[in-house]
Amino acid sequence: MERVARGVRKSVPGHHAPLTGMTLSDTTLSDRPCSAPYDKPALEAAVNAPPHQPGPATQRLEQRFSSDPANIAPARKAVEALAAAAGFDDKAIGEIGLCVNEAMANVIRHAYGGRTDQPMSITAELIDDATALRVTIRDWGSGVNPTDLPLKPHDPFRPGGLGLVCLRSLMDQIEFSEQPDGMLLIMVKRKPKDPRRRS
Amino acid sequence: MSELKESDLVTSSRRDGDSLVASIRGEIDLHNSPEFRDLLLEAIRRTMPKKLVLNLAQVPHMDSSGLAVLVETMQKLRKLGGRIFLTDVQPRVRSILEIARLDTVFILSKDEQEALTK
Repeated sequence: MERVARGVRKSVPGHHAPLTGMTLSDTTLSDRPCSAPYDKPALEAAVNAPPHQPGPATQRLEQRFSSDPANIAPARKAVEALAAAAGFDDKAIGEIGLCVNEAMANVIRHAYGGRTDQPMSITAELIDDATALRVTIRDWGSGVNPTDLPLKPHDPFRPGGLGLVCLRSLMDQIEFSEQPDGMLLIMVKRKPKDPRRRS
Repeated sequence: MSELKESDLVTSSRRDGDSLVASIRGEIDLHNSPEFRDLLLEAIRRTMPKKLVLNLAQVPHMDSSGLAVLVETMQKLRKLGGRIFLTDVQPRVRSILEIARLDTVFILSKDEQEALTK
């Protein structure tokens, strides 16, 4: 994937902190900040899948807030609530929540270097006839793609890097899409075909 | 008398012989893990227990920053000849312990009593 200029613009209209709260709506995905190409066909299909329309679980979540760690829990819980309403089981809801938590923490720590007043945006919505949940996390930070960094041997006594391990092991698909002014993380979690088989 | 500094994160703490037993409460993430770290490290420095038993029954969620605190606490305790026990670990916390491969590094006990008799 072609790397793009980074750090050109750090402020985004409408993304000035502090936390502006969260909204649940059934609007279509009209302002999805996603324009980069994807190299995985399955991910591309998931990313481009239209939001699920019929039924009561068509809500789409969009949150914009500052990079304050205090915002991690409310953002995570909002996504978990959407997943619960969509019928994901408890285990999957916990996995989704943990990935949202870890992804946001990574943005705060690495993309923003710990600054707490920078913009972040999260969307969550059902796709593929409500059989999957797509979560996106947008930042306007360093633009460093964590998957480009050299892999370190796993050392349980050094939990650094665990966030990416969680994303890779708990979500069905993840993609870091480099943006001209930051990064867009796209994560997809599918419902298990037979929940009774879940351990 | 409470052995850990009063905090929203600690519901109770007590000495039991050369053990320190503390009940932790709440979700632990990047927001409050620095406070969690300060509480545990200060308690170790002050009481130097042979066993630190953390009851996590009221911790439904913990992220990697919370795990990092537990790892650092364990390493400090080991230098003092102590051990750390986690009890009543909730499913989500157990899940991240497993992902981090720490479920076999920490001593997981069913409850405080089991930890204290190990």
